Amino acid sequence: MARYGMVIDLERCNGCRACMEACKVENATPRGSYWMYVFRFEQGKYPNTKVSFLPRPCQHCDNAPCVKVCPVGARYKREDGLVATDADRCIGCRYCEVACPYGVNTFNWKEPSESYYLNWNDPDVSKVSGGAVPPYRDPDLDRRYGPEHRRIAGGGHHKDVMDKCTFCVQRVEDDRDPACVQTCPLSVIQFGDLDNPDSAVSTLVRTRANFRLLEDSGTDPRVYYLGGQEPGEQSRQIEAPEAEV
Amino acid sequence: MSPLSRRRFLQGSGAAVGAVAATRISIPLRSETVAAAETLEAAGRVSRDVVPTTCWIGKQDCGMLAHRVDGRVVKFEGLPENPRNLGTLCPKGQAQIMALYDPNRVKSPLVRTNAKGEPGKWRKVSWDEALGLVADKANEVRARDKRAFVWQKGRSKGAAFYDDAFVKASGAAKFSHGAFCSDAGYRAAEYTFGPKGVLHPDFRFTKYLLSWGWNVTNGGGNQLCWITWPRQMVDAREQGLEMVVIDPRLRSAGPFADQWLPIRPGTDLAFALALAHELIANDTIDREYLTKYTNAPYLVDDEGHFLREGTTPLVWDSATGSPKPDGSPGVTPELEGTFDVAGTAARPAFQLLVQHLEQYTPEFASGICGIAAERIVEIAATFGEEARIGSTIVVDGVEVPYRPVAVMAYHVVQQELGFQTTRAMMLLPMLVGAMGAAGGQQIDVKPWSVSENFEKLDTIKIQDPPKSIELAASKYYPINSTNSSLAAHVMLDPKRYGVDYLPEVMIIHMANPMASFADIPVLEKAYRKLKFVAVIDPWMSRTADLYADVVLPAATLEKYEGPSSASDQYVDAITIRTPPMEPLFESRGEIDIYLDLCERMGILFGPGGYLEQLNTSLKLKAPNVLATDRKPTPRKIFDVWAKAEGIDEGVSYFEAKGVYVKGKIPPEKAYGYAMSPPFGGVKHRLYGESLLGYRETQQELGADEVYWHDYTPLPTWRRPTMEESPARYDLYLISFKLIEHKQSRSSQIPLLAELSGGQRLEINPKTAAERGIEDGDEVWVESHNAITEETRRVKTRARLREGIRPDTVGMPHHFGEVAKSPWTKGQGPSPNSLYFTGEGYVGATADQSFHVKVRVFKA
Amino acid sequence: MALLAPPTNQLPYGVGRFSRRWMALIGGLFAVVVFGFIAYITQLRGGLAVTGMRNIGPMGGATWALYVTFIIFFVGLSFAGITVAALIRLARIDTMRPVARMAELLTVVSLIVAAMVVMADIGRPIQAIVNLFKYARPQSPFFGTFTLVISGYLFASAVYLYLDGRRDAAVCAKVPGRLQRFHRIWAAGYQDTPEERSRHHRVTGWLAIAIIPLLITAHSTLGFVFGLQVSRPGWHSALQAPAFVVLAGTSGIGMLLVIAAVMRRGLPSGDQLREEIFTWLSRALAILVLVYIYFVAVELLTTIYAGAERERAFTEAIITGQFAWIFWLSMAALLGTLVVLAVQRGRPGISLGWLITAGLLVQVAAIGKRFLVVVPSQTDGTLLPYGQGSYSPTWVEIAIILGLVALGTLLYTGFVHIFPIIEIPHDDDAVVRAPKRAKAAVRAPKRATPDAPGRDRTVTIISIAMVVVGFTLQIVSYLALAAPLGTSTTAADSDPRLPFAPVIFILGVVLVFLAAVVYELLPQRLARRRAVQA
Repeated sequence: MARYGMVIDLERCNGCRACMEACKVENATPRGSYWMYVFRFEQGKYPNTKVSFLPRPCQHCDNAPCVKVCPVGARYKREDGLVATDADRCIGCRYCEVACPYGVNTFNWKEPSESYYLNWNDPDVSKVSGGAVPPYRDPDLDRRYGPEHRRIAGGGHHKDVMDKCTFCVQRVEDDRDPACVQTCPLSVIQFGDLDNPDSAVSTLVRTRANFRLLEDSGTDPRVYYLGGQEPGEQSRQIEAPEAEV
Repeated sequence: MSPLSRRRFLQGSGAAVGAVAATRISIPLRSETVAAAETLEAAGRVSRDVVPTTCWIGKQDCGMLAHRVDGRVVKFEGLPENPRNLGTLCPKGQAQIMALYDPNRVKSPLVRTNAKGEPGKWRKVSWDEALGLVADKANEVRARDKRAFVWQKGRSKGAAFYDDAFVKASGAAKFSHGAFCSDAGYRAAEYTFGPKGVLHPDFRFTKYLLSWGWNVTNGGGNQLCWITWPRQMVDAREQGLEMVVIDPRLRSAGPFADQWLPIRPGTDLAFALALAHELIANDTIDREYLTKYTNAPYLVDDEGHFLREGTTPLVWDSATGSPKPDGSPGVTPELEGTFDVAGTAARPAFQLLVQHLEQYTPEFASGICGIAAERIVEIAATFGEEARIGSTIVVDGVEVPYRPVAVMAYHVVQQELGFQTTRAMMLLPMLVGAMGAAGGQQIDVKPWSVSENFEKLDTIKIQDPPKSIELAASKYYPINSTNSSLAAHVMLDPKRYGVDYLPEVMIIHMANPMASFADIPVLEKAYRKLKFVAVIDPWMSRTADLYADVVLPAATLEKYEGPSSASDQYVDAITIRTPPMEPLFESRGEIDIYLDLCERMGILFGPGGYLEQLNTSLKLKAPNVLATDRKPTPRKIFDVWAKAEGIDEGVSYFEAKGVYVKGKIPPEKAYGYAMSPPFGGVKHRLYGESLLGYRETQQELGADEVYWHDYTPLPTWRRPTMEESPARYDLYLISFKLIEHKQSRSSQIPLLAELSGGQRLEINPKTAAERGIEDGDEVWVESHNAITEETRRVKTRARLREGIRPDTVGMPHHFGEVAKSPWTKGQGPSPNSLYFTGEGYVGATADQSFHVKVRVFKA
Repeated sequence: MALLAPPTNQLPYGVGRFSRRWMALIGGLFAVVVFGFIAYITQLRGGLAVTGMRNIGPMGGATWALYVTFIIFFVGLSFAGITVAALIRLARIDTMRPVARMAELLTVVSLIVAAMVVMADIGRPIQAIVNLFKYARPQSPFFGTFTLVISGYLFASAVYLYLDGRRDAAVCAKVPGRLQRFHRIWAAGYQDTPEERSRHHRVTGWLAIAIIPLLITAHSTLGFVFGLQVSRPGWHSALQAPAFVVLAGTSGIGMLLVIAAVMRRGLPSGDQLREEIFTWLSRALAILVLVYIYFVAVELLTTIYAGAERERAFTEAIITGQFAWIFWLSMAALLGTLVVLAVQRGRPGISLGWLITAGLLVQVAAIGKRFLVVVPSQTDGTLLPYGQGSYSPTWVEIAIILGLVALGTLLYTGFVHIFPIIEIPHDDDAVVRAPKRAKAAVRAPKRATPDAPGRDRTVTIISIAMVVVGFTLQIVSYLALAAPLGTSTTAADSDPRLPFAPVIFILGVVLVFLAAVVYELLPQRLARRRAVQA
């Protein structure tokens, strides 16, 4: 069976954050919740300054610290390589979050329906949205996935449970690319079967210089970065997006 | 009433789905695991489909697919067939789904119940009442003086056909956004070469690019919005494109700058002239191009005018050693030298250029631009070598001159010397013959064509006193891009400019001068003088909130609009916007609004009426023509138009496929140099004789120097006016665009406001330290007008950046534009209130300068 | 045998006497508890958004904060209690006997409070209880925390407290009054025959031995919760577990010192808590403080001089950054403790005031250091350059913690007023003093009752069987029934191989300690049944 992974070409990335927005709409994530996060970095003193960008989805590690520490198996590894979060099993202890070196976990600090930016219960909006909150919420998010038949797609199922990038399981099981990959204006992000040597992603990893984030943490991530360089102490983040609950 | 009944709408979309599936934009069937996982409540209950539409936020109307669940849009994705975005969307395109459903949109027509100039109080009214009110006011003033009826638009989405038709049918004066955009560059290109546009490369072949103030990572670029250019750029870099970034601020180029030249704001003209000086010094000159396709060989007398025989300019024939009318057979014109023609010393225009450029050495420019002379020398040398003068390349079977060097310049022209700066930049591709060559300099993304302005701008009849409030063709601004902030100045003191009327009634359509135009304080004073203002906008813009008597709610993308070119400069295609849903609330598409408004004004039917004007502006001819005695639906209009375009399915083709791809643009059309005749048979104006002519007329009519000193036949450097400000105003303020936002129609969209939600002042840490400012501190930014001594200040937060010149600070220009939105509160001030319009701060072509000297201190 | 003649016809140590002053205290504490409860309701309503906790990284927050700090703190307190009790038992430190029960009670109470803080911190408490019983995974360091610490450890301590209190319960049961019934139930027919005594001493001996390793593992697992996290600077350290144990001991002994001092002052005949007790406790405290300071020093030195880039940067952030004041406050508190102890030692007699001060200073240091372990690693220690984060608790967090502290105090004082907190001195403690004679004493009644051995044997067999079964259940459920250990590769790995396997594990733990109860109580039951038959 396919074991999915992602390849991100930093030589092409413009740091436009379209992936972040595609993710937010696709997965109806609440305010302040970024499953995909794009760093913008500045390095060096004027005039020898460099600016660089780095998209950061969940790394879907093969040796995922979050999976190890989850006390109830709500965070788990799937055969297809995805690291999933069972919204119904999660007890909200946030151990996965402290265990993750990448900061990809976003907790539902309050009732998600209360943090969808605008008052979607406005009667005139409800007329067209059929009461969906947010109006663009896709019913696919509430379905169960995989042979394990668990509710692992989409943002904001419950207050006080953990969320994170799912590689858009609702799309992947539907043979579509994750939302960030689909929308990327510069085709920076590729998604596919890393176990298949002929897949585009495998070829890229084989043929081009690449690194994985914080590899010495032993997490064995399934996300590969082409070109560019791993951010270090000297990288100053600029234009960090607002993240309020 | 919406033109689209629910039933017909569904039929339409039904057709759409079928065709969409046919065009490979298929929605794969649920995989078995999903099918297995289908929960009972989800199963079967949901009906999904996908219909095409186009993005509404950006400039280039990217193709989109609206994914719908039970007719409700749940997601926008890029339309793969659209050459401009190839199935992708930028952050704005993704986020606009929130704009679609935004409960803070203007939901119904509103009439003001309180005094103007303060936040509005409103009464909901029917469309009937609102349109009636607007029609009466408009007709009343039109009956007295058509000039006092003004129609203003920020940006027309798609072709401006339905707006132009309204302007023509109603005889309104037209204000647009051009002077706040890159019109100085457009005028320069139209005047010098003919095509509409500024400057962009042929990314397919370009190897060496001067990215001149191009905001690669945030902004569009010449003519297009963001997606297309960056995509072609990163593709080109994989083919070895080298990019030199000329910009006071690095963030704009991100990691794509092979070299970063942090140039001092407002000095690009000097930099360009020095590069030209070097190209000549290195003799990397394409003499053949200059001789055959420019006015470089024309003989100029010592007054600066061409010597002519009749109307034909003379050139010096080296074969016979005598002057000959240009174009006479067997002539080989001289480019350099001084010749005696009937007793007067005559020099070819090129000779004058060479002499003119002698003063502009790299050392000279270095002192002005703050860039080492060696860098200038090095760049000019590379530019000259990389141009490979004389070489050709075969493109799609056609041999085309090959000059893989170019300039990408667009909003950099928004400076006092913008027009001449662009002319100077254009010297570079001209000197090496890269204009319209493969890998060389391009101007329009559509096939190369010479616009009517090529002649018009050369033959302006200056009128005095001025006939219009915007001072078109006046002794002040002979070439004039219509700057509505300048018009506001005139409104406040018409006598001074000899203008004998004032605008009284204004329709403001998708424009927000009180936020997105420069010189806001003056605009506020002037617009208060208007007797009646109707605003057409989906949101309560700051302008509407303060000055509208009537607000008419426009739909966002849930309407028919267009047509828009979808060309990416290689593939020609055309698209229209088709509604994925019915207009929300009581909003309506603009075309509906204008049809009804014209009906109420009595200018819809018959000769000269709106419908006939539609036929003209859409170039509709029988049998595909609109009847002028029956009110069509917008859908019907586009149906007729589509058939006229040769699309037999009519509008349903677009409802199904979204974009009509005409195919690859052949080299003979893409490259001016490969046309027959090359460049459409015009001679490029290396030497601007008519500019000199205007200058002389201006002087005769007694215009001050500030109005004529930039009307020079060859681009000439002078210190920008802002430099006259006192020394304590020691910083340059520039404003810039953020990728997360577009003009005044995005900062209220929560998803975007969250990504980039507040005004900030980018300042170099060194500069900040000198002022005791730390990252995040509140600071005052105070601008100074060197001519009027006026000062203005706004308060914002400091953001420390190494990637900006220490003598320069920058602010993004989109915040707080929409009133009554929970997300625009406290977004902070617009830098546009720090800029000045009027003498010294608009260019010779009335184009706005977005440069001003400021001081910054801790609040 | 008239062994159980009450010392007076009144209950000792003010048990059963509810003075107005005490009522006022109870009232005050109760008010605070209610306040905390209101805060908790607010939190259930608004979600954890009402706390100062936020996501690590993009939100620049700490997702574990004040609550987790206090979970560790309270579990730490419990450590000393049972250790001291066990040591007194094993090392036969008679002088310390009077504080034994205080220690046991401290353990039980602080574990109950700790469990409640866990509930406050967890987003979905109800699902938490259900899902933990259903799915708890041995691979997660929490497994230890939940099963060993919260259930096993708490249960063991309760059993210990219960059995150790039987004799005094029997004594009290002689006194008529409202509490008589309660004491009778506790005593569960205890007669204080030599047989019972020796049986009891044997049992508590075993329990003590059994509890020591249990609590070491328990506290180590708590250390592992942090120590095993490679991705959090300042957490991944071999010192983590031992440091936890030492600091736990420090705060526990300190708290015991405070309690003992308060009891000496507050209880009738509290002077039975003789000076040696305080000398012993303060000496122990001083030693532990020194050891802990040594730990801190070692940790600082290793990270600052030998640590990796990030570890060093992080440690510097700790001692110079936004939370530096907490670090220096804690260090000051530790040194302060030493000073105070020295001062009070230099003076004649004992000054309870000084001792209480010392005991409380240690708590400040303990809480401070826990906070520094938990929070800065999240706000200042992200491995990707998210930039500096921040955390400060909201009124809700503070209120809930205060409420639970009050609840703990309430439970403690409540117990003190219904049961002797100091073991009632008995006319002869022969058995304890001289085991040989004790054995003899045990043998004596045996002779008197010839059928005793048979009875004894069944009881012993049953108890041993329970222990064996208990451990088997633990091992089997841990290794074979619960979710598998090792790297997960499929969804199946996240489920226990047998649903509710964790319950079986806990049952195992419980069974082991229940054996003790059975061993002590069963004989009477059998005796009574035979009596009925006769």
